[in-house]
Amino acid sequence: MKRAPLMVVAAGAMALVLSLLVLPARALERVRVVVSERGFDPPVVEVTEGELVEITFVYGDSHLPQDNPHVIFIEGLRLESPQISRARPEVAVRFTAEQSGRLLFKCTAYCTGHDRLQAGYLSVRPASAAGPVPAVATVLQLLAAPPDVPGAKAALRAQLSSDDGQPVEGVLVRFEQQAALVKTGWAPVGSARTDPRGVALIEYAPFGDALRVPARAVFEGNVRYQPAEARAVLDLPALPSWWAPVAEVRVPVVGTWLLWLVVSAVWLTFAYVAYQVFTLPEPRAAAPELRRRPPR
Amino acid sequence: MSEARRLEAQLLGVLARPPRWYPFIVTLLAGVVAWAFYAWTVQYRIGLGVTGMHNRVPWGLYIINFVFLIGISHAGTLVSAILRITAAEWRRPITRMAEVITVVALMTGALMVMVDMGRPDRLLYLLRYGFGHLSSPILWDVLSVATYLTGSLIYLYIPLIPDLAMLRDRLGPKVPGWQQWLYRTLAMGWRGTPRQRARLERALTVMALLIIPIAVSVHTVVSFVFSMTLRVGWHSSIFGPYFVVGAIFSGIAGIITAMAVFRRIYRLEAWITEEHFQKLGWLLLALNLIYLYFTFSEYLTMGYQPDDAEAALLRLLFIGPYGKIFWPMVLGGLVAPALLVMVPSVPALRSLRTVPVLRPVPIALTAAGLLTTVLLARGMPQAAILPAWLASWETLRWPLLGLGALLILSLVPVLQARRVASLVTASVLVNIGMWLKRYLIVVPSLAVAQTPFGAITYRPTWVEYSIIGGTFAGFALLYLVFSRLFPIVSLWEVREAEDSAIREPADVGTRPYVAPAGGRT
Repeated sequence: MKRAPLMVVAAGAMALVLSLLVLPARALERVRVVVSERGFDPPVVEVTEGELVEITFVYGDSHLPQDNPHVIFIEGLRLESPQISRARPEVAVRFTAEQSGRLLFKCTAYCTGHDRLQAGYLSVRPASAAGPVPAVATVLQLLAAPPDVPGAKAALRAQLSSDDGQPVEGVLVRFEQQAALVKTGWAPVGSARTDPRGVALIEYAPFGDALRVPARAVFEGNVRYQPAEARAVLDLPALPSWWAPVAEVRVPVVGTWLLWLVVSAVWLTFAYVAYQVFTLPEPRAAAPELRRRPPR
Repeated sequence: MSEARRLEAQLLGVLARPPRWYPFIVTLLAGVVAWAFYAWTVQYRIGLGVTGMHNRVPWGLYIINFVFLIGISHAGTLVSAILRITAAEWRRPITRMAEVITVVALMTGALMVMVDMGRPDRLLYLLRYGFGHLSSPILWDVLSVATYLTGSLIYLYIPLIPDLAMLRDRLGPKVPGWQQWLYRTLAMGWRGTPRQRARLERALTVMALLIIPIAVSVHTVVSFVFSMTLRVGWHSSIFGPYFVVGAIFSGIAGIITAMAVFRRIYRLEAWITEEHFQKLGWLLLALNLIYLYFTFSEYLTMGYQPDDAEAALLRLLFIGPYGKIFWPMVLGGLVAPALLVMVPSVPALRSLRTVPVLRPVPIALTAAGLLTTVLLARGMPQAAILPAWLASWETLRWPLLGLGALLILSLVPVLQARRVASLVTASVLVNIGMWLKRYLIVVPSLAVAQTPFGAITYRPTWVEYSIIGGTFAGFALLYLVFSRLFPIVSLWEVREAEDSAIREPADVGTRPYVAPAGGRT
């Protein structure tokens, strides 16, 4: 019995070793970039495709007499950092470099040295250069939380994990809703990056006339993880009675009906006037005044 | 020959044979419109990125022009309808001009929104999704502008019918076949029978009554598009009446300008008299004072807000980069027009004519000479002509200001002698000022950083300037084409006034054009 804890520890250690051997290694690449009026230091950041990356942007303008805040936007990843300033000198963003290539990052705040902060590069090396890694199958689950009242926002929560249950962090999940414009199709409603629990969450106001709105979450996959998709249905609450206010909309339903009523009344009056005009033509016999006049 | 018949002969002459300058002006205006169309194709092909607008200042010259043109559109229908309902007899020669302004301004103004959208096919989204969700002021705007345009077209057309019948009967073979067909079709078989007159009168009265609340609603709703946001400078309950008053104000200025132009080019001095200008001038002055009051009230209220953004907006307007627009707008677009209307009407100032010192040319020459001397002296490395102290602004500031005041006083008798010119100048200043005011409403509010960003700038590009230029050219072109096809003065209304003056009071009634027996229908 005394050996039992030891055996548990040994089993755990073996499982850990095995998992490290069997599962693809997923290291967190940490990079620090100093942002100052002189530019980015380093101006080019190299990472590996499919790896989880954490870039820490460091405020480098402490020598200036005034505060010089920056906001860094990484094009292609649609990722914007929180503002860095004297009050918050370091911010970190996490993401997975999903495709190899060269991505631009730049400062989007109007700051001193703004022009020199327009050409930072994220160079993503192809995964093959770091050795071939088999793509892992993934599981995506979508939970759709409809709003309580019409017009309010619904929540779409997707959870991405590898087939062995490990959460996948830092990848982009796209959310779509089925909609009909010219034809029925999937309309993007937002996207979010997964957090350390593998969860991506958005809130949005469903549109269209249907009360049952199909929604889906799509992970397009990358060199390390296979693509996945999940679907759910948003059961929206029925339309309110004619007097009830709609959430987040200032004018109650009755207001829009009144508006239609007024507009209809105006257009009906136009129709009445048009009727007066279109009935102007009359046969000659009905023009006594003209008949009284002597012909020229 | 009566005055009305002389007017008919003159305007029918214009329609049968256009003035020599007409094709040149039309070609010039069409050229500007074509250039604007090219600029729009560039914008359509590449996207809204070719404009100076961006995600921080998403509204620029297009929306400014939209608000301005919708404002101008109030000129016509509203003023015409109010004067018609109140039976103001002096309105008769000017109502048609006013009504055409409305229709043309609405057409060009509505076009601005589509240009601003970048892709006109996005209108489809509005139709598909918009009308189920009438909670948005943008949709109210679409509805009210469409309703106003339709109503204004009807309101322009109804009083045109008797004149169209007259053109059908009088012009005949003097005009091309398609023009004859146009008059014949649009005249609706008008022969001036009692039944037709009754129907016309009924339709006109209904439209005159209906168009006034519609016109008021249009600019109120345009103001809602701004005031229902939480943007600094826009979120104000004063915006509805402020916009309506501003619209009527700029609209009246628009009518005065159009009257002056058509009076000159079609030689209508005998019918559009100084009295018309003066009466519209008083209306302009009344609206001017109300607008000044609103402007004062707006900025004073804003100045008492504890909000940083409000203070930042006021700084931008008063002493910041937009001060270059704000002060000319206030002084040149509001104060100067009020003085131009008021001062020549003060009888006491007539005695200024007798003061020997007050001669504008010598005063202006003296001031110009002083200015030139100072500028020359300051431009030289050393004060070769004048000692430095004498050439300084500090020394010459007061003499120059004094000369400026004398110049203004000396101009009063000149303005009194040329009332029409001073009113037209006031109107042009009002229109320029009101366009600038719309710029100041739209751009500085968006330029105030309400997110943690620094100064935001908006610089329109050649594409925007071209399209705006094309819009104004298109406005003038449509107006000119209308005046070439239809009488720019309501002939039957002028004749009706003349008939009413001749007949006994008991016999006074609406007597639009009566077709001669055997006339075509």
